[in-house]
Amino acid sequence: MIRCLDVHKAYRRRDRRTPALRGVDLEIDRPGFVAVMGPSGSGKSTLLHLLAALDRPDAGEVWVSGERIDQLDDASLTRFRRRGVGVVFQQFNLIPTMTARDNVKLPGVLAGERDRDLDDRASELLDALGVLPRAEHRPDALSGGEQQRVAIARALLFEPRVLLADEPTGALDSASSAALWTLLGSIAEGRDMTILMVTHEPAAAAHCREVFVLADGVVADHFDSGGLDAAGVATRYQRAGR
Amino acid sequence: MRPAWRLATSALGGRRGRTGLLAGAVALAASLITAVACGVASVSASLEDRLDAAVGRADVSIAQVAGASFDPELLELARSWPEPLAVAPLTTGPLPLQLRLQEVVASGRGVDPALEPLLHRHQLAAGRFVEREGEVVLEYRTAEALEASVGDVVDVPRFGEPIRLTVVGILERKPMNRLARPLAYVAIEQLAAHDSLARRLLRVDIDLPDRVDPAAFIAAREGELPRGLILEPTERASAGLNQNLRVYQIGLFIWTVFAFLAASFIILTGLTTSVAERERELAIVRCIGGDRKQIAVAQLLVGVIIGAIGAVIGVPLGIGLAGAAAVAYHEQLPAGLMVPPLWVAIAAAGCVLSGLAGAAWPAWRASRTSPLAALGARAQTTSASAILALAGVGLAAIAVQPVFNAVIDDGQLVYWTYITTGAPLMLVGYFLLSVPVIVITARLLGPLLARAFRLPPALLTGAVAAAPVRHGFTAGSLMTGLALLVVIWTTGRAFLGSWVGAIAFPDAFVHSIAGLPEDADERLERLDLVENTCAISMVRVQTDFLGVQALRSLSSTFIAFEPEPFFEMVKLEWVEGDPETAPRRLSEGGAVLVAREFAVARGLGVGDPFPFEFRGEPYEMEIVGVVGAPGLDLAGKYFDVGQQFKDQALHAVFGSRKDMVERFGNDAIQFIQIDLADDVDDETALETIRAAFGDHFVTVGSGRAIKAQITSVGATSLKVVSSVAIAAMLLAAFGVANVVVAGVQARRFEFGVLRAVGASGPTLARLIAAETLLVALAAGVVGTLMGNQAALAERELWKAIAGIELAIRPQADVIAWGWLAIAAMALAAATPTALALARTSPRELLAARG
Repeated sequence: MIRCLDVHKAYRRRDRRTPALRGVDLEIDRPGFVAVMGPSGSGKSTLLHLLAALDRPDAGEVWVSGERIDQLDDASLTRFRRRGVGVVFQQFNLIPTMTARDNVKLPGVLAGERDRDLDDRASELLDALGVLPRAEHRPDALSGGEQQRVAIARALLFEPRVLLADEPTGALDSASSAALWTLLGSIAEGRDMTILMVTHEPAAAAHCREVFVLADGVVADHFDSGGLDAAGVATRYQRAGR
Repeated sequence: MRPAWRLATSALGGRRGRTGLLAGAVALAASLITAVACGVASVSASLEDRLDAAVGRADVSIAQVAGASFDPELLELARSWPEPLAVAPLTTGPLPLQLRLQEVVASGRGVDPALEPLLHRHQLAAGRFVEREGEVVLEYRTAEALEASVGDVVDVPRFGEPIRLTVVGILERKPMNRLARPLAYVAIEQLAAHDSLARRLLRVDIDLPDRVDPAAFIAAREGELPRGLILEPTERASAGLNQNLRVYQIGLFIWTVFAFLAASFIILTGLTTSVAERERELAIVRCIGGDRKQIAVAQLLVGVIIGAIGAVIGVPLGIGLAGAAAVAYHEQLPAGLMVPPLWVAIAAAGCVLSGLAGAAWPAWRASRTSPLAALGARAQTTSASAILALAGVGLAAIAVQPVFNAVIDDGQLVYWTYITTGAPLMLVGYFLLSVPVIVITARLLGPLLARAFRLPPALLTGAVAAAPVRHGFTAGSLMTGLALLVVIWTTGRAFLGSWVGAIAFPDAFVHSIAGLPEDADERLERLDLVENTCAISMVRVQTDFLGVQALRSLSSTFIAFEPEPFFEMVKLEWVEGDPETAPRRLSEGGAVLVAREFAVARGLGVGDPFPFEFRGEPYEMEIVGVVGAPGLDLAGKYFDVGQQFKDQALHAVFGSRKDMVERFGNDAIQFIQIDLADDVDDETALETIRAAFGDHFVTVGSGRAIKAQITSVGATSLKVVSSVAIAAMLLAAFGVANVVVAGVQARRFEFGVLRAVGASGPTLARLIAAETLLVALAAGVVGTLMGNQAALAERELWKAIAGIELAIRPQADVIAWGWLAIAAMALAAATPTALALARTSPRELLAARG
């Protein structure tokens, strides 16, 4: 499902070069809910950007859903983002001038799909995520949790094999966060897809099957988090940091 | 296309207020262009109307060189020519009229009732013009003498039953006195019924299409006329009035092009700001699979939709504005409102095109949005090198027109390069230059303004420095209206001065065919209101005009004056010879100037001898110049003094009074030209002059009134066209409002932070006001520079294509008013947004993030 082979990425600003990933090797070969943890500056967001085809690595290979994406041109990357992967952001990133329904349909509109088909699909997704009654509201009329559910619905429109979530509960309260982690876990299981979540919260990782720990641009640890609670994940995470 | 359409409509529908503002700006542009087009058409039609009333529409006339009548078969020859639009005959003969106990011998004019209205607009005080036989139109003095009114039946006595004519119209009194020669117009056949000799033609007037040059037509056709007949340009052509009118229309067309470009820039600024504001949103679309083409097309569609909305609202609005101006100035615009369909279509299409053009750069910029921009809020400052690059490109664009002026001589090429390249590049150049100018203005005046608005200086200058392109482009949009105002008034005032100056002639005339009293000059010079006089004497001389084949010698008129005062008071058109040497030679004696018509008829020119006889004695003088006198032509049409003069001019020569006295022993004066003091009004002057000759029968006429009528039309046109510039400023103000709203929207979080750290609501409002004022000041600088450069460019243009030299001077009063206007409009446009910002709570502002 997801494979990274010796991936390197650095950012250049004026004449400064800041390495973000220094040779990441990572493999996720079956569906499930997976977490990537790490301290600030560890490269986890950079890794997610590469997997979401939002950026290209300086070196190495990146495979998502059986497709090697590090060498795709701009148009191919765009198509991949449309259908090949779903992305959920910390700040929700909904279009403020569109209703919840229109936001969910947007990838389909961009792909030239028929409006009637998209309407049915959007209703189905919004209902599955418990926000169908709010379908005709704009983002500024929705709570944070509702907005994030709409964002997840949008990401699932084309039923990608991989869904990437970048700190999806960063802007939510704890109750909403917990609900969302549970939801993501059930989606991963129910739809047989891989959900990779970037997080710094042990409580979030506790809902996942396995955890990759990034530190200083490389995978420092990888452990099974099934059966661990938040404290257990935190202990294991801290050990990896040493 | 569907995805792009959905993106476009979502962007427009989601921000209705902003969409309304931008569409409002385009609507105003459409109304501006439509109003300009209707204004041009209305002013042109009114000018044509005035000219028609003053000098008729005929471009050339056929006449006998000595003013005698000629064979009516010549009419058929003229009608056989393919070029003319209309060919109208004129016959003349005495027409005695009786009504009740009154009797007048009028000078009858026989016209073709169907053609006469096409070529001459007779201004009627009552009734209508002649349409058939049995009708007569009386000149006002004839009607007064007969005590006649419309509907009366007058008798034309003859052997047998009198001819009965119904008075169907009475001509308006001419504004000035003139020779008491009562006129009456009848159908040609009617005049011939009374006097068979009146079948012969006095003149044939010919109207040519605009594309036919009168001089070329004369050169091509005059050889077909029998000897003794000439084809000559009328006063309209010789005064160059058609040419001046055409040039005026060109000027207004240029200003229309400017307005169209201004609209494009305002849309560009508004949409560019919108793209910057929506960068995160566009990046999200890129994240979820929107490709560059979809985003670019969506932006272009936004531009097209805004343009279309603007056209639908703006075109009818423009027609309405022009209509209101036509009503307000109905006296000066007698032709009323004219709506040219082609220009209306151009205005509508232009709106859509300007929306497209304005959206092109934002579309490109939007398509370059990186998906990663959605994930981080990084402030991007404009680098100094980018600002310098804009300055360099701007200056290069501005320099193109002066280079063209320096290297191109051909008039047509000058015009087309200006319209297609020079003017648009000048506008683009100053638009780009607005960015470095706002940076400099902020640095120089920012601290002063900050103190005046009680703001921390760094806050104000920092705000401008953080977004110099947005602020600069806003100033660029605002400056166009000021530039328009400056160029309109600078060239307009210069044009009026040159045009009226070009047809200058004396303020007043005194005339008596029988001769003025010997002390006429002294009587006039005793009057305080007289500044200068020039006495003119006339005697008949005989000249072998038609050469050895002539059956008889014809009379010519020797017209004599004092060269120095004459040349001060009258501007002559020198066909041959020059105004430096000819007057000196005239003063020395033995030299003459000949009228153009004479030179044409006789084929004589400078250096040739002019032989003639006076009272049987032979004389010979040297021709030192061939001249025309367009102003005198016009004067003649107004009060008929010139008509007699013109009749003489066909075979007139001009010499000095010195020769008149010394060689001919004649010092009688028939005509005195008068220059009056500036502060005396016409009526007082004419009454005073007439009173000075109380015991003599003289005719007194005013030349000022002619000039005043012509100037009035020009000045009114200036005011009407200025409303175009004001509308351009209003248009820009819409653009400013849109950009201010977008700017505030984009910076809501920043304002929230300011409020959070202690800035008050009114402080934010003052910040917006101060930023807007800085933009207005920068617009003032750039607009003034551009307006004056455009005026200089138009000076070269009119010199190249029309031979008119305009004296261009900066108009300080117009510039000052313009600065005030744009500052007031910009502040007014920004005020609602500033006040709304001041009232918004810090929490709401901070919630804008994400």
